[in-house]
Amino acid sequence: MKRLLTLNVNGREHELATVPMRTLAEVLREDLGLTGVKQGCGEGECGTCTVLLDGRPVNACLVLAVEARGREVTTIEGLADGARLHPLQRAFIEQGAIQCGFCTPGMILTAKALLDENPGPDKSEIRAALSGNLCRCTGYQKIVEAVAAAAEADRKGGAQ
Amino acid sequence: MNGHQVVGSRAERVDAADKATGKAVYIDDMTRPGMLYGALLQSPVAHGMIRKLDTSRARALPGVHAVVTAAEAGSGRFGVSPARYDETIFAIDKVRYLGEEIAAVAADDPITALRAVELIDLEIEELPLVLDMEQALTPGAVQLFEEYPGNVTAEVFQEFGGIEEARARADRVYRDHLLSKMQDGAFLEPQGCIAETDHRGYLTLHSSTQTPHYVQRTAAMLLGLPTEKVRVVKPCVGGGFGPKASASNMEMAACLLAIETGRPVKISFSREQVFLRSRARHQFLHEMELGVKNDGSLVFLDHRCVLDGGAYSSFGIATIYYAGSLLGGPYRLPNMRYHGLRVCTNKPAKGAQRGHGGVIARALFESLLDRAAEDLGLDPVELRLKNVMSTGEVTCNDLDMSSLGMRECLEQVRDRSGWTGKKGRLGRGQGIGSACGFFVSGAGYPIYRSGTWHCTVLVQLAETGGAAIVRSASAEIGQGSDTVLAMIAAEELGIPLDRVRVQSGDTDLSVDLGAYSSRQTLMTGHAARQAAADARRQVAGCLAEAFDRPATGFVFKDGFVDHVDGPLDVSKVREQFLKEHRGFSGLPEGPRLTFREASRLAFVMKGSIVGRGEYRPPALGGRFKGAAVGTSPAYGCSAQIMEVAVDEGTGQLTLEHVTAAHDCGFALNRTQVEGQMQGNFLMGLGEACFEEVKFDDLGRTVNPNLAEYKIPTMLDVPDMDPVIVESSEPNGPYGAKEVGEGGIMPVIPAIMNAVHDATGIRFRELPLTPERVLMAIKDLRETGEVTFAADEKCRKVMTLMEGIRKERG
Amino acid sequence: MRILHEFSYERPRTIDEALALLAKHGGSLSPLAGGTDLVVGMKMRGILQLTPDAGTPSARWPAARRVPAIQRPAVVMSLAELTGLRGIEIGADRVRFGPLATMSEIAAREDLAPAVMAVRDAAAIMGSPLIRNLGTIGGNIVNARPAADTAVALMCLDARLELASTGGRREVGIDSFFTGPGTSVRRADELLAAIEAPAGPGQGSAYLRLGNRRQLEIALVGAAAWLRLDPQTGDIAEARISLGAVAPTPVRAVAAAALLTGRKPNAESFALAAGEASAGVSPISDFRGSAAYRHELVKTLVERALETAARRAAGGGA
Repeated sequence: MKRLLTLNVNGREHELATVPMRTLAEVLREDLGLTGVKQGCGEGECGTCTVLLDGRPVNACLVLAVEARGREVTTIEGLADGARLHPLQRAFIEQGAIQCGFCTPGMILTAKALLDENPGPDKSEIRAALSGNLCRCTGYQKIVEAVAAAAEADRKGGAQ
Repeated sequence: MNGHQVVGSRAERVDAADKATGKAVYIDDMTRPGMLYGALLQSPVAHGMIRKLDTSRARALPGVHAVVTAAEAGSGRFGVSPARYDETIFAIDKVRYLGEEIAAVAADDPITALRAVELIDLEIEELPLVLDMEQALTPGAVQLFEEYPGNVTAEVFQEFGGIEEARARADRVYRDHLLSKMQDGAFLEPQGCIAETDHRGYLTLHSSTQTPHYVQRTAAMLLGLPTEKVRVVKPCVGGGFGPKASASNMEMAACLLAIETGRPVKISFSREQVFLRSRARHQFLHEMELGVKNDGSLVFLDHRCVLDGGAYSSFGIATIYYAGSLLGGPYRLPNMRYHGLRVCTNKPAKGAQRGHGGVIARALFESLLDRAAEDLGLDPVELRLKNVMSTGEVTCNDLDMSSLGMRECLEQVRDRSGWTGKKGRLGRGQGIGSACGFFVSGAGYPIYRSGTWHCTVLVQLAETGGAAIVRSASAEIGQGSDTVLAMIAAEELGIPLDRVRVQSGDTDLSVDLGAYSSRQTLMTGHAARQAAADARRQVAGCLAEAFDRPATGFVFKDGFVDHVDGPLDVSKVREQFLKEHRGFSGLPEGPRLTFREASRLAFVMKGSIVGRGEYRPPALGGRFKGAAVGTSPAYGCSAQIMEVAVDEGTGQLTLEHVTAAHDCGFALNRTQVEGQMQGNFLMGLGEACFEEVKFDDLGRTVNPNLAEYKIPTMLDVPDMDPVIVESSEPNGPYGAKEVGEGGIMPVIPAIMNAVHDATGIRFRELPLTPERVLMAIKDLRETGEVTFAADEKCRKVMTLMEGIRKERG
Repeated sequence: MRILHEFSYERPRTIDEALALLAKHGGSLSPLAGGTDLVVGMKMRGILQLTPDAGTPSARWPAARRVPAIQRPAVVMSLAELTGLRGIEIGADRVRFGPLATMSEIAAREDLAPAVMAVRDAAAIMGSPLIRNLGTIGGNIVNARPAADTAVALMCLDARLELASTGGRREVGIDSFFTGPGTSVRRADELLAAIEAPAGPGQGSAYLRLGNRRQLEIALVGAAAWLRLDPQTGDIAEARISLGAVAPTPVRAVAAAALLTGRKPNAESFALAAGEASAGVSPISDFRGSAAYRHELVKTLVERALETAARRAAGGGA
């Protein structure tokens, strides 16, 4: 039986009617139209469904939607500020870190959480933090370079 | 940038921003009004006769709109090559692998569809299983098909030069074998499609595919529709790598359901279904004898190969050819004999995957070269350099090296990696290895016999002036083809990249065979260049009239049009343009004619300016049977050197200091070329070290998920130093040729050779998991030699193959 | 992949409410912590997941084409509101983990004593960074898988588990907690309320595991070691070794650890113990790896875990 559920997604409250059997990934995609949350495996193995839950990256396919009640959910759609891209989005584009793009939303969100917590990671820290996000196209190298470039740009921007 | 404005740069991908913001639309993101959801009934056994198939309970479930089986689908055959159409949309009487499609339902929502599948009453009488190549070839084995006696779905026998005579001339002969395992493409986006019809009988299929063209033809053929009434469109595709390069039963099922219900029907694969469909990398068993002279020059290759292709042919007839033909280069090899067999087994069907047929063959060949070098006391890189072909040479099997930067690739990796100082000088448990490879830049012939253009491109200039739309049915699947086409058009028209839009992946737009065999850069790029140049010439023709100047003297650059004979008087044109645009801002100013004004003028004078381009390769290759496969207008080549550290307590490998060089002819987009090189490296690494589809003795795929089918994570792939070599291919646009697949070729052998350097062991079985490595080290330490399960398998299979050869006479 | 069966969702606000629900529903209720195990277990498993009697070739195969999910609880009870079950308390001579402490939270605690660092090692390697943000130590223990990283680590620390029910609380030593793959002495009406491990001076522990890749793996073999060194002589006063993925449950290598008492913490001692540990187990061969390979890994990983534990016990840090 459907029950009302209020979710805070990308800074806005949404009231939905849903059953407890649905995952956060399904609800975000199908009820809120946030199709930037991808589904690659449904088992928490690929990371394409990554969202930030209270700022921490998690596999949305492993979270029941009802469990996200009272928590802040951020999807890729919540990153850009209108037409202004987030520095990580800019960096991914500039560094050639995107090919088929299916892993990209998850990668960027996980990277954002990393930089929010550790603004100056070295490459091994970047790799460790993103190691739950699989990519089949890029070979990862340009993704790591993009995250490093974004961190550098943040640092320079902050210093001013 | 070699005097170019756009091509040769590191331009940002035209689709990157959409992908970075979640705006890019993939098939599962799409809905259509009134859409139903489809689900498939798939066989739970690997081989059996369908004794009961009763859909009545499923049809009765509220919310179910249609159920289709072979009764509705018919018995029309399809596959990839018309010479091997051995599939039907749904199993008729017999199922040949666990996961084979038997029926499909369409319902209001996905859960109802899945429940309806549960209600289909299915009984299957199981048949004995054929689960590996040895079983398949054993006389008296159960036959999967009447039409494939001995379970052989394809056989190739070729001889170039003279083997027996060559044997006599060789000073030394090295013999070895290599067994690989079945692999999966493991693209992150599972397949899916939405089919819909309209009331005039036009069918539109949106699908995550690499080849809209072949899907269109297959749908038309099987559904009895004229091809022109079928439209296939690909949305954003999340990777393909080969397994998405053919029409699928799932797509055809969706079409049937759409026709039956009159509503759009969506089917999406789960990850498990991706593994069951497979059409990914075959299992390869290669045995080779390489004959050389004492000075290291190659004399002959005698090569036998057996492929396990799973239950249906798919691309297999091409795979078995490629497995042999792609060893004709990049070294001078005057004599080559090849006997290849592709067998069928009760496992998911295998097809084409990155490097199609050539990957494992290359791995063994490059290992043998290494062995020869070691035995002859020569440096392995120097041995390769000694034998590489040069531009203009032709292989013994008639493959024309119209450009070949193989020497330069090798020298670059040798020098940049510090090879000479490291080889033979690394510490215990460390090794360094080298390898080369090459690959086609587009198959020379389409999959079906036809004189068709391989691709056509239209470039339409915006009637309002200043921009262009490139229309191509080519498939952007992540490799960057849309961006390359846009760059080419921008270059030819002399306008900024952001003034070019690309519409692609839609059979309504043009003809394009699609993204496979690494063809789109060379072929579609060629057509795009031609089309953009045609549009430019049409504009120049109008300007010639308007300005009374020779048409050939107009120069299109940076968004302006000048003339070699001197400045143009733009006043009249400018006045007209400004009059037309009263109230607008951002209008042209200054003394030079803008492309905006020029193209607007051309429209006003002539009507819509549409440039046309088309490409098909000239007749290529020799006249022997199977000569077509392996022919290509051009060949890319690569070299790699890498170091490996072996943990002798666990067998785990750590790769370091990877240097890779790839000759792509000309890098239209340097960032994208590097990205392809790095992606190739990752897939090769995965296949070398981790990836293996596993089956149990009931034919079940044991690891149909990304937990147990292990593709490399970020912690498994080291940085690599990518070196771009540009040999300037005469048959390619601006000299460009492939990079999408060739770079995978050296990876496995470079790792194998490095591991040999570290451990003294030549591995004859892949993948090099920690277990395989550790147990081999242990074997060597305790017994002085190393045995692999592959050794016995090879002996048995080769004996069976010998029997088949003798029978044929 | 979707969850096809229906369940009712409860979200108790206090532990007492939770215990009452457990008492009421017993085995048809599954507590939901991080969900990394339960949610996957509830999703439709497609046509390949087999029930125990499927897989026997038969002339007819009625009805079984989609095998139902592994876990189909009638009630899913969220632990999200039970803040009392969260947190990590570091005391003078012990550490207490709330069952809802996530792997990330544990891995981030650099102030965990060297004595219990094995738990941190385990928490830091389980799954992936994303899974570690959800997965809890309580879930890892209660799911009772033989390869469970933190379970193996805690076993060498002689941890004690507190189980609560409407009938009161009881304490169980972790060595006697696991009874088989996926089973434990936890009754259906009990909730794991706390996990406690002693931590004293001169002690050090470590956990190592190997999979094929460097992330997103289930251990082929996991090995944990704990050492207490004599403050005067530096000899090993007491040792414990535990192993994962080599038996139906995480197990202690008792004989191997006993060999170490009174010996110097050096390579020779470790090799001896590692060899004994390897000889003392009978791992199975499965599609992930062979028994022979697992024997080799036990040797290597026990040796290395002991080395690191010794270094930590001696105050050598990480």
